[in-house]
Amino acid sequence: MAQRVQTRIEASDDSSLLALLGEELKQPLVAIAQMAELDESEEIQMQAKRALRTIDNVLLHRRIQTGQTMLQLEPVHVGSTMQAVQQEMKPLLKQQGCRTELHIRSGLQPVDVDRRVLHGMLQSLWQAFGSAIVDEDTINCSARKTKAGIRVTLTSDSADLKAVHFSKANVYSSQPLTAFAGPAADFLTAKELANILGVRISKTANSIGMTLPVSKQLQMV
Amino acid sequence: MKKILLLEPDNAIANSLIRALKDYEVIRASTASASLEVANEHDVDLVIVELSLGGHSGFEFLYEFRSYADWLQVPVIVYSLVKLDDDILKSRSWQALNIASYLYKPTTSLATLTGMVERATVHA
Repeated sequence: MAQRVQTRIEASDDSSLLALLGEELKQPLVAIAQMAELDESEEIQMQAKRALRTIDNVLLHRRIQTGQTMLQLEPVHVGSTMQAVQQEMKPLLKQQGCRTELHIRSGLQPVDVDRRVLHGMLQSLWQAFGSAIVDEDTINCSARKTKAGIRVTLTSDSADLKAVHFSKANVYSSQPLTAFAGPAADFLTAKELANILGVRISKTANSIGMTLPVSKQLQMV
Repeated sequence: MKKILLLEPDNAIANSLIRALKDYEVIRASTASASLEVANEHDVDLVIVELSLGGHSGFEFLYEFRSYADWLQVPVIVYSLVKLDDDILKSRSWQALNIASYLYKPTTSLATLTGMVERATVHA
């Protein structure tokens, strides 16, 4: 019992440290992104922005977990969120030699989610997925209706999701005190944000996806 | 040349903003109290504020700044590392500050900021 309480305190301290570190890192990363923008060093700018997105999504997860920010469930159109994330990701993925294509079925019903969490989850997933692409390729992002809800999938023929990333993310999620970095951090962040929404991320060798619940308000109509 | 008061504690970020806002006279201060002195000495056309400061916060500066009749109509852009949720942006106390725009630094490019500055100073 005492050990469990101790572990919880350590985890909480660790989470505070992570938050402080995240807040602290934002300033130099913004400075780097700005200088790179002025000097037209697109590559550096994209990498700084990528790190800022990772930090922001980790901090969003923590704010919700600690109750600093309340979860705001509302009907959200997945398609528009996917389009926004695609626009943000395009320059970074282009730099990695990837193209992105959206395939959104028309007439999709809204889903009941927290808009910020959905956005952050898709950003993290997209960033991680981009890192797992072995060759220059196209990432197809699709949304379609299924019995269980709206199925969102990222697919690429040259994705290598059997690589260390996913197993790393799973190991680290059960060991909060262990440092994590790289694509594993984005996978883990996406997974943790998905947990907040009560959604499970599933994967195959070259795709990753989740099913989001359709808005209950609309189901009743 | 229009004058901008820039309340920014970080030197590197301040230097980039001064470079990006080359068409304006930018007077930089790194604390809330120094910013009030600058506002007192110069007729500024726009204020850009970081909320996260050492000592008095950007919020404290804004409440003080807006308490003077002369500065009620000066456009203010909050350009900050602090992420504000929608409920804060919709709150009465935030609305009362009459903020022209809130921009979150990590997701706002300098090009977006300068565009916003241009629009905010059109009628100044």
